[in-house]
Amino acid sequence: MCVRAMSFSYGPASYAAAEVLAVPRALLEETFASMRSCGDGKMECVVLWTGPLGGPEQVDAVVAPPHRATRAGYIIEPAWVTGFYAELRRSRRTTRAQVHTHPGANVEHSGIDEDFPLVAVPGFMSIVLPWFATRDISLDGAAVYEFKSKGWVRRQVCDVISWT
Amino acid sequence: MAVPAETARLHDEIIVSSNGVDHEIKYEPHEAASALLEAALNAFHIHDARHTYALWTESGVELPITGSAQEAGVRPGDVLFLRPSVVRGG
Repeated sequence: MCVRAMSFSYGPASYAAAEVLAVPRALLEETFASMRSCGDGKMECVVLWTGPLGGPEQVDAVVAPPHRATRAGYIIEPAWVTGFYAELRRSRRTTRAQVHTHPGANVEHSGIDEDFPLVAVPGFMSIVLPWFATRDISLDGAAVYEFKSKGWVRRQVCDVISWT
Repeated sequence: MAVPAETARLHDEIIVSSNGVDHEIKYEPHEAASALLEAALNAFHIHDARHTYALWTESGVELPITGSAQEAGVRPGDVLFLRPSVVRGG
């Protein structure tokens, strides 16, 4: 059963978290293509979903950050992050979700996933794709976590993502 | 000579930007740089793993948290970026 989350807002007035992210299906395809190309079924990979600052529900772009990865983890190039934040500021955009792969069927957040995200403010999403994103282009089998005031909470996909 | 109010206001503020969102932060040049970081974290309601965050200059240099804001190179009107020092998963 899919029950809609309560709406809420947080932080500065210029930033609000939507109760449901509207994500184009083409963006999911782009996400999988990036993961497959980069990870080659052998390494973890990460992308960021971004959208306009003024449209809390909107996700309309995939950003593939430069990163180093192994079969068990990834690290985004630290020097890239500041420039990315500067570009977000210039373009009045924001990151809504961090998406990364795991090697097998286990999509539980690791301790590292919990402690070292790009963003940890309420409403931010972390999505874990199983099998290095080599299987069907779908969030079936994936896990979606939402950062809330007391930490990461696993959510049902249909509660927090609406395909467009 | 009196400094115009608007100029005076600008003289003790910086802009801190994080994930595309801006906040104006008032500061005193002689206060600890660590206090500036704390103020930024509070402004963005970041409560978890605060020790993993730092302020970065537009040129990509991490601001030291020792010494004063002025000693760390902070100047009124600067834009600083609040971000985690490391972003990783596994």
